[in-house]
Amino acid sequence: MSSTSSRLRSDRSTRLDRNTGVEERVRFVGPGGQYVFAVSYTPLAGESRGGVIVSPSLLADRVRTYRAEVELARRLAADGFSVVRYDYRGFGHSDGVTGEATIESMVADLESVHREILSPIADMPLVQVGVRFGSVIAAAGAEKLGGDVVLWDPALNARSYLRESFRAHMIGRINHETSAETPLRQLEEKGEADVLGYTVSQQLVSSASSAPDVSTSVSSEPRRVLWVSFGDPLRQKEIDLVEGWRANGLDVETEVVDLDDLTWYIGARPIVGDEVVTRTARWLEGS
Amino acid sequence: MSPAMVTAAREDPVWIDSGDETIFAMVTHPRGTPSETGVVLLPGGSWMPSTMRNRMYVDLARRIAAAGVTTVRIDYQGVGESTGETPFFDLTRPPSTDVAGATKLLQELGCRRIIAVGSCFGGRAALSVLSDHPSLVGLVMSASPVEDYPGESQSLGWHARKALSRETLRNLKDRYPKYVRIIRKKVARWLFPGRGSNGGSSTLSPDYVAYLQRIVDRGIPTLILHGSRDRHFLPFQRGIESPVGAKLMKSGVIQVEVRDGELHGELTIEAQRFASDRIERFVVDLIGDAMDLT
Repeated sequence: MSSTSSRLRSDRSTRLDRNTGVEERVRFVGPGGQYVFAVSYTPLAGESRGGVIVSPSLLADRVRTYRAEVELARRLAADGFSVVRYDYRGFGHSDGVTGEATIESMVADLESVHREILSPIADMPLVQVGVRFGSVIAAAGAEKLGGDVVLWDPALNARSYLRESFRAHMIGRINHETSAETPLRQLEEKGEADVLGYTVSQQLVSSASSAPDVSTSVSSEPRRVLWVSFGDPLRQKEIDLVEGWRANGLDVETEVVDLDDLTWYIGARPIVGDEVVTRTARWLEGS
Repeated sequence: MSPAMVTAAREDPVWIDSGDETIFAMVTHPRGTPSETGVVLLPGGSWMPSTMRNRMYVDLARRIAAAGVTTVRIDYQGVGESTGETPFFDLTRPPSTDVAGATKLLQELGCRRIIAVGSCFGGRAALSVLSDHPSLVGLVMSASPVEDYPGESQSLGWHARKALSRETLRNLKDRYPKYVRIIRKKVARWLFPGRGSNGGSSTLSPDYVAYLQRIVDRGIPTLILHGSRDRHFLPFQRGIESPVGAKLMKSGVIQVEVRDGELHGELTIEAQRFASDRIERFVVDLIGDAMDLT
């Protein structure tokens, strides 16, 4: 970010955790006006064991999973991995307009984070971590860039995630003032909907309808997959999917972590990430 | 994004020391010659990161920067990118070092005057931490509680019933220190009714009254936003009708705007627009006044 470097000393965007020996650097990547907010976690001692990209969730449930993403990144970097987290354009601290974000633009963000932050470090094994909605993006990233995949309570496709968010919105109306019209009606009439106070655009919904499912993206080459379910055992549809992957030669592990699965509940505490983080780290350390 | 906004090209991520922890801040630099006034944006307390719901604070910071004003938004300790344990938010224990760190950063950037903006818990944090700050020239509290804990003005019996509720017992382990403070405070007020007086208001907490009195005494323009259906609104409305509340309002430095419906939590895009538009106008008006003075 050369245009802004003169305003503050650049080292203020970097912190060194002396206990873990990890350098944490916050920056923007990508072309000017389309910056992607990214945080990299780099172990300072020894060679990196691999690169990890964490693709976040969206809308109201991002607040509940945000902290666990940060804890995972810190833990993995302390274990020797180079980790990057980022916000899609149109969301979080990134540039862009929320209403213009699409599945394609999100995958492009993942690619630019990989190109600008992880690629220059070394040619190393890659792991894509997808958190809920982010599973769709992580799986697409794995299809393009390769690597193993970690799915945290995955949305199997972007369509089902958005449908779930619309349902959560309607349930949220019981306790709170939310937009009177249903999200689908708003999309029809205004081109965007207010879903629990978050913007969902027709553009995102349209791109979701043509985006590949996680099942398709992940199954494209032999790889290891960790599936962590929050709270509930895998449903039959998910078990069938996992069995299908295994039949295709993928090495798939599933874990169920005991959490209150109230992901969309307004005002709920962030998920306690300790167990999710520990199980993910153990699985990765075995790679 | 409105065309008047600046972009991330004018933003600097910064780590700030805050006690034993390091908190994350994002500075949004203004276009053109910066004003000597800076704005600190404090999020609400439901583990909300510095972006706020639907990245309301990102857009607001970029709008305010387009008007020539530097802003800093922060993640509290244990939230978002900051280090520390995930907190339970308690109005009687504001994140003093986090707020002080953000204002110090603004001063390092050349801002001699500071406007503090906070949503819910963030508004109360700004009030209690910055009411004596020499650089404070404006304050916005959006949907901020006027009681230190829900039901502060209720009877001891009400609290006893609440204490035995399933929800309270379920959260006992996590919230034990907070509950102990509430019980101590309630019993002390019952035993010594004159202590910690709120000046005759039955619904405004003594701390709220005391800090707001300092703001009024200093003549600092203050904008208080509420939603007519917010749970904090009724205690606020009753409070400002009490003798002490009426006196504070009569000072002329406090401006109140009420949205028809909910504002707390900014749960709709309409509520977010209501708050953002009023905050931006308040800041721009104050900058204009400051320019007139210089």
